[in-house]
Amino acid sequence: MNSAEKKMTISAFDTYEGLVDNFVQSTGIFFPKMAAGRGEFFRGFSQWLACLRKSKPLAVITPDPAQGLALPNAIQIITSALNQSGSNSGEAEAAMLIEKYGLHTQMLTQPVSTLSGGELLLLNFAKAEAQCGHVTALAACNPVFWLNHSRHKYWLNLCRHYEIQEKPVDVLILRGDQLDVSAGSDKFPPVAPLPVNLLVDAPLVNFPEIQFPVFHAASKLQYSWASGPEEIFSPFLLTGDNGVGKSIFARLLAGILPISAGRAFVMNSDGNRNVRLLFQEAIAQLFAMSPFEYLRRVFSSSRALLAEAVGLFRSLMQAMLSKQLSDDDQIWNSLLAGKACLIAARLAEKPALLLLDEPGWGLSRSDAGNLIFNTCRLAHQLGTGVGIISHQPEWHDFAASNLKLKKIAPEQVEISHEPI
Amino acid sequence: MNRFEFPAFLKLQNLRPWWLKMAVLILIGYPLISNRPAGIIAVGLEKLVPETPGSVLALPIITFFIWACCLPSLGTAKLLDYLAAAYTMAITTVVSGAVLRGLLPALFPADSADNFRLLRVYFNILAVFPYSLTFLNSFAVSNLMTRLTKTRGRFRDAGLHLALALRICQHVGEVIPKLLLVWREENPDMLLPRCRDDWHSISSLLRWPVWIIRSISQWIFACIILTFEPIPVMVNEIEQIDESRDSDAPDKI
Repeated sequence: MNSAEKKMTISAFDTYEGLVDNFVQSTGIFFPKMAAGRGEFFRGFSQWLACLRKSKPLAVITPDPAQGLALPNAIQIITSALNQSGSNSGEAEAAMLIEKYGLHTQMLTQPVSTLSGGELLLLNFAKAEAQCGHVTALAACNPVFWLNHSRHKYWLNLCRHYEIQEKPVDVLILRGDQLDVSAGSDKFPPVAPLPVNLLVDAPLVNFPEIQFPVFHAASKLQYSWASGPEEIFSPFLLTGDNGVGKSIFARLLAGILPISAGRAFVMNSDGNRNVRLLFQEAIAQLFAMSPFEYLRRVFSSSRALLAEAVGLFRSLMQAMLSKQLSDDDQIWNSLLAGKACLIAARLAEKPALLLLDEPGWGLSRSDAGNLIFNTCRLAHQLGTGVGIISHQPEWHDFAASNLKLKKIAPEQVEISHEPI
Repeated sequence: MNRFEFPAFLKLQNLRPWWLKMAVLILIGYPLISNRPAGIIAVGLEKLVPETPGSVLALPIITFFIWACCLPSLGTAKLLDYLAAAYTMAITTVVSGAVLRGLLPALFPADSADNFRLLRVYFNILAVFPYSLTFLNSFAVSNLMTRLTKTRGRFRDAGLHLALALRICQHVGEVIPKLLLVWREENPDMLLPRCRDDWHSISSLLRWPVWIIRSISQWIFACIILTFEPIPVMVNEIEQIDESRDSDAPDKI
C-alpha cells in the first residue's frame, strides 16, 4: 500500500445503487438514482428537503463527477473553493492548482458541461485540494475510474495532501475497480470478430468562441488516419489519454457533431452507415425516465420495433443475470438495466455500428464485463459492429482491433490502428 | 476574417460594482415592466409623423433597443441562438392563442384589442427571453459566494439563498444544450421521431401533433429533473460557507 493511502478507507460495492445509498447515508447529500424514473426522483428529492439537516463539512467526489461541480466553469469552482478556506485567491492560484492536476489552463473558462469524464474527475481533485483547509474529510466515489493509467498519480497526490493535513479519505468503489486490491482479473471469452469499414478523411470539428458569460476562445480538432487498413474488426477499442478527443470522435461518427471539413463514416457490408452512440453520461439519455418508460417513448411510433427492443432488453438482462426475472424486480430500475435498455433500443434498429463510451461506468467489473460481452454477442448476430471507448485495461484482451488516438499537435489527433 | 469585437465597457458582465450592474440592467429592462416608455415613444412618433400607429411601432422599437443592449455582452452568435428560441416560443404562443380564439369564440369573445394584445405578447417574448438570460448570467455566483464568506449577519442568509436561486436559474441554461445533444442522437431530424414505421401518409398528420405534445412534456420533466439534480451538492457548498463564519467580517455585503 502506498503511504498516501494509509489514512484511506476503501469500501467496495456490488451495485451502483448500493454505492449511492452508502454515499447518501455517509454524507447526508441526496444523490438521485436516475434510472428509477421521475417518480422515484421526486420522492427522494422531497424526502431530502423534508429532513434537510446540516451535514459535516466534507469535500465530495460524487458518484457522477459532474454533479459535484456546482458552478459553471473551472475558474469559478476553484476560486470559490479556495475562498471558502479564507484565502483571497484569484485566477493565478486557480490556474496553478488545475495545472497541478494535469489540466491545461485554457480549461479555466471552458463550460464544465463540455468536459470529458477524466477532465471532470481531475477538476474534482483540484477542487478537493482547494477545499482541504476547511473540510473534515474527503468522500470520493470511483476516484480513478475515468482516468488513464498514467494519471492515477494525481489521485495519489490528492491523498497525500489530505494525509499531510491529517484528514481522512473515504473511498467508495464498485467491486473490481482498479483500487480494489482484492479483485481478481476477470477474463472475458472472445466474440467472433465482425469486419467494419471505417473511413477517416481528415474530419475537422470547429468549436466556436464563447463570449458570454465568460469568454472562452474558439478551438478546432482535426483527426487523421495514421496507418493500417480501413477495415477494422468489431469489437474494437478506442483508446487514448484523457482529453485527447475520443468522445468527440465518437459524436462525430454518430453524426451529432457537425464536420466542418473532411469526412468520417462507418459502413458495414450491407452499405449501412447508421451509427448509434451510448454517451459517457448514458443516464441522461434515459431522459429522466425508467427503462420501460423510455422504450415506450422512443418507439411510440413503431410498434414492431418496440416489441423487438423489449425482447432484446429482456434477453440481454436474462443473459447477464442468468435467471428469470419477474416484472416487479427492482433490478429493472437499476443503472445496469438503464444501460441495457439503451443498448437494446439502439440494437433494435440494427445500425452499422454501436459505440459505447465508457460503458463500464457505474458497474462492477463483472457486471460491466457481462454487459459488454452479451452486447457484442447480440450485436454481431444482428450484423452490428461494436466500438468501446474506455481506459479500462481489461478490454484489451477482449477487443479484436484497437484504435489509438494521440495528439500530434495542439489541434491535431492521429488515429492509428493497432492489431491485437 | 477579422471578427468585430465590442468594447469591453459595453459588456454588461464587466460592469462593477454589482449594484451598478443591477441598476443598469433594471434600467434596460424597465420598458418590459412599465407601459410608460412605450407610451412616450408612441406619443413622440405620432407627433413626429401624424397618422402613424405609434403604439404599434413602439413595440418593435423597444424590442430592438433591448437586443442592442444585450448584443455586446452576448455576441452575435449567442444572441442569434437566444433569438431562435425566442422566435419559436413567440410564434407558438401567438399562433396557438389565435387558433384558440377562432375555435372557442365563447371563451374568447371577439375584441378589437385582441390583435394588438397578441402583437404585444409576440414582441414581449422576443425581448424578455434574451434579456432575462443576459440578466441572470451577468452575475457570477462564485463572486457572490466569495463575498458572503467575508460577511455575517442577516444579509448573509439572504445572500446564500439568493446565490442558490441564481445558480439554479443559470443551471437551466446548461441543461438544455446537454439534452439537445441527447435528443439529436435519438432523433436526428429533431422534430420527427427516428422510428416512425407506424406513420402512414394520412395518419402521420394526426400522430405528429400527439408526438410533439408528448415530447414537450418529456422535455419539461427532463429539464426540471436535470436542473434539480445538482441542488443537494450546491446546498452542501452553501452550507459550508455558512459554517465558515468569520468573526471579523463586516455586517453587510
